[in-house]
Amino acid sequence: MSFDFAYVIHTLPLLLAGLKMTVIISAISILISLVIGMGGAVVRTLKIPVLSQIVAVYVDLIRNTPLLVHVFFLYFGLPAFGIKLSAVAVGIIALSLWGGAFAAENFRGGTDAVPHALIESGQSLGLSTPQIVRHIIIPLGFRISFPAFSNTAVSVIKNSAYMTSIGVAEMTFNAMDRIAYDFKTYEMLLTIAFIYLLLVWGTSYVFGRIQRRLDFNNKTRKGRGLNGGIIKKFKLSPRRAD
Amino acid sequence: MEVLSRNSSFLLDGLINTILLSLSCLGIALVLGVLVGVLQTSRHAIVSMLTRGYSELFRGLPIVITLFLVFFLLPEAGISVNNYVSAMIALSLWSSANISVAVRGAIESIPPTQTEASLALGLSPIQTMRYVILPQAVRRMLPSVIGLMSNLIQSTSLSVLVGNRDFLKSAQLVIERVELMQGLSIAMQMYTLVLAVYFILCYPLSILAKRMERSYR
Repeated sequence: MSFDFAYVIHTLPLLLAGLKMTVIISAISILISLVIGMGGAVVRTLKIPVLSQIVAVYVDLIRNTPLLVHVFFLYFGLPAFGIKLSAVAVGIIALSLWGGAFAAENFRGGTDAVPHALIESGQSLGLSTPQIVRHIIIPLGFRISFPAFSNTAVSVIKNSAYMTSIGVAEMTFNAMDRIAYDFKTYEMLLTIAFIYLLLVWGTSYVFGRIQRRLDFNNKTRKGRGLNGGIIKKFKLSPRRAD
Repeated sequence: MEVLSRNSSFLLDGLINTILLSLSCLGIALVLGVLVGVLQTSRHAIVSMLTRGYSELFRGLPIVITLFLVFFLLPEAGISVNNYVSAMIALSLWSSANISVAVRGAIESIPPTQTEASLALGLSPIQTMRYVILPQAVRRMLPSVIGLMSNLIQSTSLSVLVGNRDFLKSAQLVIERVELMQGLSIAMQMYTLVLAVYFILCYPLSILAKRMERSYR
């Protein structure tokens, strides 16, 4: 069994086209997850009636059921209601809803950790609730929970490979497609495994860099940011989502 | 409803397959994960590097890719496995990598004075790990390990991609059968059932994990 490099070079454009799809789907889904997660966390931190319960049910439902079943539900189940979505749309919706539920939990850790005294002092300064959310809860909560969110974001990238099952032409799908024609299983799988590792490790590295800039307790950037002695240390264990 | 009662034993078969796969993966992953996690804290540079590399590798790869790698490459290496076993191997690799990180984190959170004290008392390094460090670390790693159990149960659904007939696959087969024989689409109802069953399996675990995390903080 020898590794056919020429074949890999030959199919690389196809794999890279798949990679592009993987990156696009993931990036859009991560952005939507960010919005859903932030919104959900704010709703739950402010304990807005009804909405807060809806978010709680959504988060529990998504977190305790497999993403693959969400995908099948949206792709094969929804047409019964006359809603026929394209595979790419299903991919983005499923990944966004999944990432959003995990992000809502990530961010809730952060928004809950915002000292209540800060919110009260905002109120006493005459800030409206939207202003408190925008200037106090979101910036502080986001910084605190960024490490956890970056794990979720990386999981979204990895889980984009699930979309192979409904035929989205992302990297795994393209590779499996070639395997069905040429039987170069060994070459294709090892190549995409390698590309995924680069993608996942690269993204983790970038998130790590961003995190260091956001870190309250970073000794090398003393005096920067929002740590005026109010926010001391947060013990938030970053939890992986996948 | 009628479809359900007619296919109940078929679906139950699939559910049992899902539970068996989850349990067997969990067993392997716990043993392997604790072993790899302990070795990651080793002072031998090569041992800790190799075991950390193992975790990074299988945490970095999408589970789908690990599944395909095991399913397609083991036979090429001359080891023939059926789809159940290959799903079991792949999921155990992924799960043990994640458990090992939780184990390592828990061990490293135990103050080093504990190790020093027990070594000074004349315990061997293995005895120190076995009687002093691990019992304390177990408490700290339990919440995340239980969380991972729920993830593992959910991830077993991916085994349908390599042809394992688990609960999800059984549901799909029922959908297809009804579609072919009666021309009805029951995809919506069946997938709702599948979601409900996975929820019932996983929700207690996530409640438990959350509760433990709160009590240990």
